[in-house]
Amino acid sequence: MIIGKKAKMATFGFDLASLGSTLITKTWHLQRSYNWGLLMPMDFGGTLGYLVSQFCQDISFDDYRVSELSKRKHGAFERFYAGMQSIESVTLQFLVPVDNSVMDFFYAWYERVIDKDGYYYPKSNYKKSIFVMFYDQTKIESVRFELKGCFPKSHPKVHPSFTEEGVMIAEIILSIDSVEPSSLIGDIRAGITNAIGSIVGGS
Amino acid sequence: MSMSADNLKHDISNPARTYWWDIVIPKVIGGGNRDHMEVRAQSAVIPGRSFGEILVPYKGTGGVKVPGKLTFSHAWPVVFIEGTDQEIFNAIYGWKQTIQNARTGIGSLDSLIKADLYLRLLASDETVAKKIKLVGCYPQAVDDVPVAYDDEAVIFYNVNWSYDYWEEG
Repeated sequence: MIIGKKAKMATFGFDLASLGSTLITKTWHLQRSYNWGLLMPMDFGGTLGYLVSQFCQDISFDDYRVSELSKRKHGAFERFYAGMQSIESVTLQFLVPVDNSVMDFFYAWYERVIDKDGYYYPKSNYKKSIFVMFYDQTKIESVRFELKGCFPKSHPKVHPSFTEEGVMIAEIILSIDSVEPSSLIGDIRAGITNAIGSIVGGS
Repeated sequence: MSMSADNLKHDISNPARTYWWDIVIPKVIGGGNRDHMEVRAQSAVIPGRSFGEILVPYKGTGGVKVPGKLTFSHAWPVVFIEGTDQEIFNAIYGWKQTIQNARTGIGSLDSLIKADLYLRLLASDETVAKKIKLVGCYPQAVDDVPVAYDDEAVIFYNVNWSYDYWEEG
């Protein structure tokens, strides 16, 4: 045991950049999967989106990708280029309070897409942006994702059962146009990197 | 620093005893007598707390450990001694029936069936040295109590209180 002297972790053998685990341990601030929040800044059916957002338990918007590739044949080779990009949907899970605010909110949102007589409304009536914020351990926002052009593809799905013991969870699937991340910390980092790059002649 | 017993004596002039404590139940949901419950508590535990563990693997190293979520056991066991007046039975039964009536299945709102309980650690002069507030308690379970002619003992109830979290009160 080393008393009165700071124990030091050895750096790695072939670590040419001299980045040992000591440095990494000190500089890594890893995003936790549970430090996040949803903000839906719109009101439907007399229900505040901000309040409904607090009931969100789970969100998934991970499949944003170039779904179609443009292909070119060149002799015996194929070359691929970016084609259409797509994101299928966003899936959210909400706790269901007994005041029915979560259900009311999404039913009212759905009715802004198609009315009770089956007529469609213009997109400005129902396409909205919602936000997902990631936080660091001190609750300072690290990244904000704007999920653009959202509207419900279906009514909330619930599974009541006599054989289970739990709270009711409603699953909502939203259609979405695009995801746009923004980060103050990332902007600062990019600014520093660009400034250094311009001095040393990087690209 | 020398390791003599005097050092320990100077540091801890009066060690805290495991039997200097009491509990406070400011409100007994369902109409039980709080004085009886507080006096008849025979044993309890100082609740613990921990963090979830996240291990991030890194190359050939042992990895990097970071703390996860704050976790509690959410269970606080207290043992009560019963009298022939059945005050403990009545209090716990009344509380549980308020949570959910066994016959009708009708229950109360979550916010109405919870109360904050306190564990007080005492000094030798009975002043309160530390007060722990267990937030959002309700009796989650009461163990079976065997009764038999060949036994010679008094009746104790092991009541497991559920709580949301605890803090210094």
